[in-house]
Amino acid sequence: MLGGRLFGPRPGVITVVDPPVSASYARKARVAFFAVSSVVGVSTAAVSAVFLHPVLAVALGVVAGLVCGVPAALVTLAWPVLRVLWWWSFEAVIVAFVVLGPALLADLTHPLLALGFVLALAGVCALARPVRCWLVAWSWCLVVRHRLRVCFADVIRSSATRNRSAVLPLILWARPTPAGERVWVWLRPGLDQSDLEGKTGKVAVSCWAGEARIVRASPRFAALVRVDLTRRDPLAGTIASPLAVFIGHIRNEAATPVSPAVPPVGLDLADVPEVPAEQPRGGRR
Amino acid sequence: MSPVLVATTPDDTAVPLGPTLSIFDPVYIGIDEFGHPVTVPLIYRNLLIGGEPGSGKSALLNAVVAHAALSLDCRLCLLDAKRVELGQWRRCADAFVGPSLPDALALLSRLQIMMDRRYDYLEECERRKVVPDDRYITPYLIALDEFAYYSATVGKKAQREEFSELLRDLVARGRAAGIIVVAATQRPSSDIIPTSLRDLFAWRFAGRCTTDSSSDIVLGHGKAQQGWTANTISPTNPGAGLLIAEGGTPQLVKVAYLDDATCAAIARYAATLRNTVASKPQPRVAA
Repeated sequence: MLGGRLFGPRPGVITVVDPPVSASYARKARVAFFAVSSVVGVSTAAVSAVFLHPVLAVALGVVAGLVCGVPAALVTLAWPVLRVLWWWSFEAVIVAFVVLGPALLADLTHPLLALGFVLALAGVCALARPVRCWLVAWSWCLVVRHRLRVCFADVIRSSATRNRSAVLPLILWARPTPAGERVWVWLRPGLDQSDLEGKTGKVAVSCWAGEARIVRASPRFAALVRVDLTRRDPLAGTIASPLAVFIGHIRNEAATPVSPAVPPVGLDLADVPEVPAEQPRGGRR
Repeated sequence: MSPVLVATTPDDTAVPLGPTLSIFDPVYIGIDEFGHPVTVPLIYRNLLIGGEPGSGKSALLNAVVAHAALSLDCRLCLLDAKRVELGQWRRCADAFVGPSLPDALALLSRLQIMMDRRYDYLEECERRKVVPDDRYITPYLIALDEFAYYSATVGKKAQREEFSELLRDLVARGRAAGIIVVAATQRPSSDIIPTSLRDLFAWRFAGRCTTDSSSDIVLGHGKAQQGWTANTISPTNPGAGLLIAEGGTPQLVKVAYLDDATCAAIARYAATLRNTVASKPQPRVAA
């Protein structure tokens, strides 16, 4: 017992949810059970009393309350695990597709044919630059969603002494930009944009980006903020104006235009005569 | 899709001449630091461009003038002390002033008279400002490069002050009459542009500046303290700068570049369209 306390939990026990969190959700599960079962039970009993004997109506209400309250309590109790599964659901679907797809193809056709198809697909993804860039850009969007969640959890934890009720924001949507990623975030009660000001450096570090900017995304909703992450500098090259495309067909490709009207004479300093120094005017000597 | 200018021949046959723009459309400036296009509506606005030599001021000025030249609902007045930055657009412009302060004063005086007449007309019509497809009032873009040459370098002090006063009047009152002023200079300090004139420019672009205070002079006091300073822009990245437009918050942008050949081609095309429009019969613009 003492050894277990000194050196961590017992061997073979895996902590899925931290004890304080699980205790908190057990309390919430009890509340959910009583709230759902009582509301459903009373409502069912009241409606049933119109058609049935009052004793039967109460019994039906108790059964309905238990039927609804127990699942609600179980969902609430398992919510930390369900939430993590939801966060990773997209990745889980992709992994399932990558693993099960070739297996299913091999089962339906010849294994060598399936292997050839998988290798061809992988080759296209790796060698075709547009496909590779597209995959890398969207993969970063998936990564950034998780990294932002970690970062926001850290922000909430660091401000826990003055703000114990803050809840993790909802990561709404992420999409690639030419410079990196753009993520829309819905802040929930307990956090506002001022909590994130001055923490853009930490956000950039958390997301493995070069720079981060957090701006309000909607004049209507203060909760909707936009996180722009920069990994590449799109401003380094020359930006062509669309007007060049607009009238590109009439562009004159002559190397250096010369003027037929003005001869190129007198363009060097040697061609410009020196102004003679002004002679001192006569005066008294 | 841009509207296409269509000319009608005497036998009533429609001949498409080419695409045109409108000064009431947002002007393409370049891209922001996230790679997204940046457009700025210029109508009813004025733009001040600052930055050290080679920072991209003239590139931005040319981008704006190119849009205005292709906008047949806009007329151009160009003032360029170097003559070559805006010289390619000379054939598209109603007036072009080189390094001559008296000529610049004469042009601004005429524009001031025109502005007063426009307000007389608008007052009679019980209107407050110029609108798209206005039949009698055409917006004017006044593009001014090397502002310091006219306001602090040549001429007598009284002439330079008169130049600043005339321009201040156009910036202050010209908005509703469709007069857009776009001025570029290297460091718009108070000895170059009076503060009372500088503060009237709603929109600002600061190319690379050598100090935080120079950046603040363009963008406004206190911007460097808030983290927005054009001093951090790399000197090897001309065209990058901080733009204050819609929203009021500076954004890092890279100005689109038009090389000499493209500028010349656009200018020729715009001049041809403008001459066609000026000739009879009057072409119509079809969406």
